[in-house]
Amino acid sequence: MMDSQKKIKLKVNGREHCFTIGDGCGEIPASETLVETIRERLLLTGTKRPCNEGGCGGCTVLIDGKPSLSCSTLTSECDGKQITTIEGLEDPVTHELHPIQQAFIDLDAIQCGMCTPGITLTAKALLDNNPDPTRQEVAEALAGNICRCTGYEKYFDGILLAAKRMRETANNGKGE
Amino acid sequence: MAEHRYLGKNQPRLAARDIVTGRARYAADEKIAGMLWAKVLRSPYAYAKIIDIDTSKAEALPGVKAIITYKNAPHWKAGMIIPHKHLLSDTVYFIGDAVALIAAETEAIADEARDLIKVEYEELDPILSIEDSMKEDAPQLYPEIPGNVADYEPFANQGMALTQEKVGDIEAGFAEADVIHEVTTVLENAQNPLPPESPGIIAEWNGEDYVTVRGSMSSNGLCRMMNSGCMNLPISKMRVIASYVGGSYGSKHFSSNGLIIHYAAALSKATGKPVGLFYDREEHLTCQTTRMNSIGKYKIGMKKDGTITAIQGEWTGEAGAFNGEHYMIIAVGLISQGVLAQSKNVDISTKIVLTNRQTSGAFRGYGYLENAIHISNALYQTLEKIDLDPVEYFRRNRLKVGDEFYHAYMCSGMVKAAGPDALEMINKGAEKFRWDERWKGFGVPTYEDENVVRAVGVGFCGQSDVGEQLANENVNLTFDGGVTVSCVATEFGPGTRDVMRKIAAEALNVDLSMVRVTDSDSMAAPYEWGSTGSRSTYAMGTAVLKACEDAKRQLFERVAQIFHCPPEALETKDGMVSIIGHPEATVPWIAAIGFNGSITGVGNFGGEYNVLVQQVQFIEMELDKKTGKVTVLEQLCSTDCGQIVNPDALKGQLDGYFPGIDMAIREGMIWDKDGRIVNPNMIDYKTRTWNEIPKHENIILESAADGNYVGTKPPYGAFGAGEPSLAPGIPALTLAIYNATGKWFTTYPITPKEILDALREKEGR
Repeated sequence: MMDSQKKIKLKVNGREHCFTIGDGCGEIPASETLVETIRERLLLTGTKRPCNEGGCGGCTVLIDGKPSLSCSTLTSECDGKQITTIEGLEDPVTHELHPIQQAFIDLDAIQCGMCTPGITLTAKALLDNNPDPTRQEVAEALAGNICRCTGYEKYFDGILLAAKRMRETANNGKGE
Repeated sequence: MAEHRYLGKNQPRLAARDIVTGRARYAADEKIAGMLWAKVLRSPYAYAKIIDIDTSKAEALPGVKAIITYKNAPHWKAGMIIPHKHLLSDTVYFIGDAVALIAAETEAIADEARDLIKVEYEELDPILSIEDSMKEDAPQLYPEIPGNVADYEPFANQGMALTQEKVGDIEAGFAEADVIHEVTTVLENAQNPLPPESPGIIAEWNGEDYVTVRGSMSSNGLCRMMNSGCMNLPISKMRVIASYVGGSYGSKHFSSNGLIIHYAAALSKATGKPVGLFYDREEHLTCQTTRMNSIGKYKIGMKKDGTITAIQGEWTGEAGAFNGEHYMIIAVGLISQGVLAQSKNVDISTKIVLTNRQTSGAFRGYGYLENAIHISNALYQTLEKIDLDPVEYFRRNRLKVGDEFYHAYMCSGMVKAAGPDALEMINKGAEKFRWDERWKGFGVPTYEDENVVRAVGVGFCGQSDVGEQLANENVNLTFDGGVTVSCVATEFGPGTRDVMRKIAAEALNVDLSMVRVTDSDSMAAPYEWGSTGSRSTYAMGTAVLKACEDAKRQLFERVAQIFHCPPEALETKDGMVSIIGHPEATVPWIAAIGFNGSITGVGNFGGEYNVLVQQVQFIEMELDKKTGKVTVLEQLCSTDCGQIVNPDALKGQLDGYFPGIDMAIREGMIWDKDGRIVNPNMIDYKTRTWNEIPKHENIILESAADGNYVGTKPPYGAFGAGEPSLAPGIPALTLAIYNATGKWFTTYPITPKEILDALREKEGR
């Protein structure tokens, strides 16, 4: 393999995509960011690119379960990674929403919605690791996701409501 | 109070599922076949002449489709009242002003081409402050604007808007006063609205001089009105299709600075292809609009009971590099005088000046926020002299129903306040915040130890443009019981489209799921401004309600022929029409409308300017005595919206108050000595995040739900209350900081260093 060329595999929302990194025809440049690959090549435009400089959290995706800024991540460095975007949260068969998405709808936590995908994914990572967070833990986990409309209050409430519903579901599952 | 089927109850927003699943398409998510990418080469100098520009290398780059400079640009001009800002000219007026426009097959090629353009400039001495613009030896920026001061006479002569109000006898008023006090406040934050999404536009010029513009535009008709003429087109030859808008807060009305639209359209005209222009964050923060800077000098004469015997003011706003809608910002802002400081003797003169800085424009709080700060600063310092609690002052001096106040915008004269009376919102807010207990007097903290000092403050604001401008909407009833509201309301956050949908569902008594609102496409709905100011619920909602009533009238006239009864004897529910009290006499809409038929109701509204949206905010903050840092501990908003339509959505509007308080203590653009903004990014321009949110509460009253208004009443009494949330926090925090430090600040943002200096001075006394 030439130095300037390498093949990578990304698994995005469970589906595998292969790319060749390089300067040639049909290859993707080593400088391409993950948000560009997701939006422009995979056409998953639910991932937003609001500031494109790592300052707002709007482009957050999960890389191997960890919230990551896709505008500040090179695609070429994601070989073998599992990537979850907002499109990956809805059940593809039943169209059931993730509890965080449902809670945001139920409490009308959203306003313009530009920050919502990033907030949803960061919150998912939080709840996957900490099913019963305090308000302070939510604040610290989400501090990198800037919202200018809502004052964050209903987002807080939505994440805590989703956590409660997820715990209840988990407990019901155990009881059966 | 009437019981409603939908109003005042929560239903999921129409757009909710699209937004949470990522399906909502914003400007940058739109894709049009054959679209070219645009970039703008921008000036590194605040004021300069272009001596030479060489585009040959850029033009030779494969994939470049057009490069426009002042040499080949269309003769388009922006700016009001006399258009003066050329699309491109041989002079650049601020750092970031456009020098060349590039369209190419890919974004990367456009970027590369931009770097290949060589420009030689001759630097000129720029004007970088309001004061400097008015100096006698200041450079003359545009021949159309002598002395760099905008001329508003053409508007005054049409009786449309006066920016200068004169009422009573100012000298006699001051002669009656027990105290007279004057304060000058300088607002030079140039706070950025900072919507999460930077502006993005796709323009498609059709050969017959007709342009379709897609993208992040929050006010469909206003955008057409303000921008079509700049491109030498009648309004009817500019089609606007709004995407989901990722926040606007006023900045995406493109009412003052629509250059992004003109640039994309010029490139589309030149190439014959659709052209997308998407600002990056630096362009967004340096080239789109900021809040208007202004200097306000206010002199207040007051009696010992708080009566204002006279108020005299000079208020000067900064348009920036060209002049747009600023006369309207000033005109709306003047309402602050009536709301905050009504008096029989008033003389306020205003001015708009040009500088070589980024242009200012619409931003939530539109003029009345700025003027509320200017007037409150003078007011609070005057109240201190008579030792009157500001809350007690607001109770006494509020506009009561029937009180006259000066309305410069549209009416150009005195109007009678239609309410609501603010007394209840003031009292309920004060009670909940325990103001009477926590207010210790001017200059007195509520708590102090060796590390911190805490203090409370209050702010008040209001405006009466909730019913502004003409509104036109249509409602179509289809034979299957469905309803389509033709309305250009945009999906930009506050839930405006849901308001229209719920009003229609309420008026026609149909299941909410049967009502849809057209896309915000100027070809799909009658012309009107769209969501701007705070007009949506009142102005657009009234037109929707009237359109529903018109449709219902037509429906009932037809059913009356079936039942041989008067139309007044009929009622409708869920697509059926019955004789009231006779459920056995029921027919479906299709019986009257006919298979494949529909009925269109038309609704118009002429504008009302006397209903007040007002808000009072209470704040407690803590100062760190070692660092000077201000932490807001508690904040309470109290307001009256007439009738709640979407409870959760309205709560969200009030919850988003913090960019207001942050104008007082942290937000602002920072310029270097050459006029360059040095913090145009999300790291250096600090907005608040999750772990910086104080304890917060809302009180939302519905005092007018039954409607006690003159003129055209708001629909179901509802007129919205979201916009003012930013305004009262700044005077509230200014007062609290005074109570903690003993220093009245009159420049913003108030920095930790200034606060430390004030604390040292206080301790030294």
